[in-house]
Amino acid sequence: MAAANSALPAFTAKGFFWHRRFGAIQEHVGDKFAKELFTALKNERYMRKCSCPLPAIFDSKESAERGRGHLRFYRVGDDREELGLLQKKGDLVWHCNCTNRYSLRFSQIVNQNGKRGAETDEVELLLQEAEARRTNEPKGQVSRIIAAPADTANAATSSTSAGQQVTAGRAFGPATPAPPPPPPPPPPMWAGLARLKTRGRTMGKTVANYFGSLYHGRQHDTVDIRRHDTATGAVVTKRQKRQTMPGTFPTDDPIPVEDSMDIDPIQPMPPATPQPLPRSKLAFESPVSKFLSPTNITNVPGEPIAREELAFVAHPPTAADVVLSDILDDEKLQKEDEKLDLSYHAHKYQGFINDMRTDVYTKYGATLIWPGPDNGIALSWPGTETGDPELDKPVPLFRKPPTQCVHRFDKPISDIQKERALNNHFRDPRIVEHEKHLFLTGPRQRDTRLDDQVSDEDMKRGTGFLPDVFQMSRMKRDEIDEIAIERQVKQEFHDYQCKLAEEERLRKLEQERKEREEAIKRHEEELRQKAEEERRQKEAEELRAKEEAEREQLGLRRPNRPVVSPMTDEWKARVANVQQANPATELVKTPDGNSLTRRDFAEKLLPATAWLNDNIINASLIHVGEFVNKAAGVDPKTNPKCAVMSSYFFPRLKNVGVNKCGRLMRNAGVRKENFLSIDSILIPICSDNHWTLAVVRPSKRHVSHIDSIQGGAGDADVKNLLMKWVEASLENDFVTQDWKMIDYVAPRQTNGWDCGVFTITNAICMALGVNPREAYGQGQLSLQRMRIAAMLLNKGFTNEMSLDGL
Amino acid sequence: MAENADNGSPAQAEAAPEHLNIKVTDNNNEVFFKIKRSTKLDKLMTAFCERQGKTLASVRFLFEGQRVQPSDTPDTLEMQDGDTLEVHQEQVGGSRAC
Repeated sequence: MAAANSALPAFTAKGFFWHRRFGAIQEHVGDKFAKELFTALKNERYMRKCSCPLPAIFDSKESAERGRGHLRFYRVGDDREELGLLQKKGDLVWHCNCTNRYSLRFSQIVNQNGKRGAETDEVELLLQEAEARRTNEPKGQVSRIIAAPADTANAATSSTSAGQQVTAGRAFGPATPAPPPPPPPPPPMWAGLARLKTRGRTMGKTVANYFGSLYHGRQHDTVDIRRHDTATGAVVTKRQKRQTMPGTFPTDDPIPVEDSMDIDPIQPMPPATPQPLPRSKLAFESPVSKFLSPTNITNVPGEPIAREELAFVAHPPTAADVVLSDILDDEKLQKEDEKLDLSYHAHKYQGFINDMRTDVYTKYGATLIWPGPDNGIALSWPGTETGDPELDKPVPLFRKPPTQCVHRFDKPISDIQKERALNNHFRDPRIVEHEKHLFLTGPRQRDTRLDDQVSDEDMKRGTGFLPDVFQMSRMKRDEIDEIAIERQVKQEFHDYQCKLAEEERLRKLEQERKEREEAIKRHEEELRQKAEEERRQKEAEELRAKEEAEREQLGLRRPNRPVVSPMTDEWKARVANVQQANPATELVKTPDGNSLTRRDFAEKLLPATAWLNDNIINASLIHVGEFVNKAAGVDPKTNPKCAVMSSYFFPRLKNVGVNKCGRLMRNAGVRKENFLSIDSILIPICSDNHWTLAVVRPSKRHVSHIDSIQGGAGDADVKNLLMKWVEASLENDFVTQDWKMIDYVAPRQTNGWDCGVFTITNAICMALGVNPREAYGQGQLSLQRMRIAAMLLNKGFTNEMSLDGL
Repeated sequence: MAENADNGSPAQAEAAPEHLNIKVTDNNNEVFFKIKRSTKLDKLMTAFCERQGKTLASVRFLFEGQRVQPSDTPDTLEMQDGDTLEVHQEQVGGSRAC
């Protein structure tokens, strides 16, 4: 295995794989073309803000072949400083790791970068050199031979076609046929081996420097370009600087540095040594002087102050500055000078300098010397000694107070006034006004009061040192400021008060407006409420009147209390106990002799959705009749007020005939003789699983049928049949026009199980002459079921179950 | 009496005047019972229910529209020979059947 591997290193699994995958390889060796491509790629990468690394540079061509990537650069040459390039043949599109897609051709790249494209002869040279390298021939014959600018168009076309040829005709491996030989370069160019060596080294250094500059930000790349003028046969070499700043493309305009045949290594320029400024001007050219008041600028003896030196005064001369030359009394200053201690002056100067940010001295390399010459302050610049004692001595900044004005104006003062007027345009008008006053009245009109105020103490402290005009000017300005401030304060106070008053006024107006609106709203509300109240009263009256009329017509009254009232806990318990009773036991016997068992109660009455059976209905209605008759104190058998027919009455009436009910009527106590004296005859009807109640009220000659589903209205068939029964019962006493069929209004049933309870409750109401609509509602009927059960267990409407007071 | 005798079984009625022939019908079936006048109808009702496979609690025996109690006898109901007892289903109602 090992032997096989060593024998065929190129066909190891990995190498073979990558080799095949890379396919035919296009190769550029040792050329600046590879470098330019690399540069272009790098610039492209910068421009796209791509975050991936550059295409890899391999150490050798072998490693490049084994590597990955569409573009593989590798180092070649003895110094490993040249750059070679492997590229998959025909692949002019390549990618970086972050999937940005580079889709540029070589020629496009170099053109876009301000460089020429690869041209035919150059490519041929490349090929030649590659061939030479492959066959171990002497190398180094790499240079750029550029066609003369005369046939630019041809060169351009041939460039593109040559590029295609290169792409197409280049093949990897020695087996490929050799390209056509290029036109031989002029022999003198390649004669001197040493110079070629130098050139190659230079070029290699350039490349190496270039790579170094990737991280060091070198701005320019020096490139030598040779031009071969075919017309004259001369070769011109140009050394150019190209910008290779990271993140930018090289500029289109190369910066020519030299234009010569000499291509020796570039000699670095010596660093520029700073030239010291003329010493005599240091005091004025240093920024310190800009901070000095002109009165403190000392006239260096022997050097008359030139006019332009005044330009260093930081601000335009003020009135005080100008008049200074007039008002300074030399003799007086002289005397004061003698009187005062010089150190005190120095102290004052020191303070003055401190006020002006002393660090500007040190920033410009100066050191302060105090006390300097003449007990003043001087500046010296250590490290710049020239050896000339005259030049090296410290430059005095502050000496004794000047005995003469440093300002000399070589133009009339009126011009200065004009300039100042221009300047004043941008200054505080109050100060300007004050200075104008000074000019007009003349500086000699001094304020003696100020003189008197300057005491010796002040002089010693230095406060009296400034010229009176300064003080006057400042005091006057402050005074003006105070007056202005006072006026402004007054004005602002006045404005504030006006504003307050205005706000108050607006607030009051707003308040009044709101009150008015509220009053209007209240009034409208009252009117609306009144109208509403009237309307409600009217409606209530109408309703009452309607009900009265209805009651009058129907003969029903309003109940005094609800029919369905709550039960006591005792009765609730008794009703609940029914559920546990023995099914066979007779729980209670109804007045008509039937036994009610647990089945009747627990299955037919008490569940909220149970359907009531005939036992419950009949027994309940009989109890109702008993209660009414007992309350009326009549005998139910002979002269009942309320007669109750059983639920079997109506089917017989309907199926057998109106005349065949004698037995039932007898049982109920209804006869022809007492028929008209009966108040109500209750007839429960069960038809099609639906309980309804028919009521005949002979005393009022009403026949009605109450169907809870219909909300009290009844079936006409039922009423007609009953009317026939009445007629048959009364025989001759029947007066047709007296009898009416009535529809009552009763609570409406909206569920599918409560009609029996409705029937019983309607029967209670009708027997008592109570309007059922006002007596109960459907929502109370689950309670009413328990009440009926309790009533049945109680055997009638007695005691607690009594209907008294309804 | 003559009418009733025609309707019923005259031979037995004449033979035993103490006995009555009672027809019990529920519209589908007719069952004749021969009972004494003093016999409680409880017996008759129970026999009919057993024969028809019904429970006593779910049927109503009516004589001329009047509910017949188990303790009733033909005497108390003033029944005559050949009278008919109608058997109705228990009346139950909750809402109008739609």
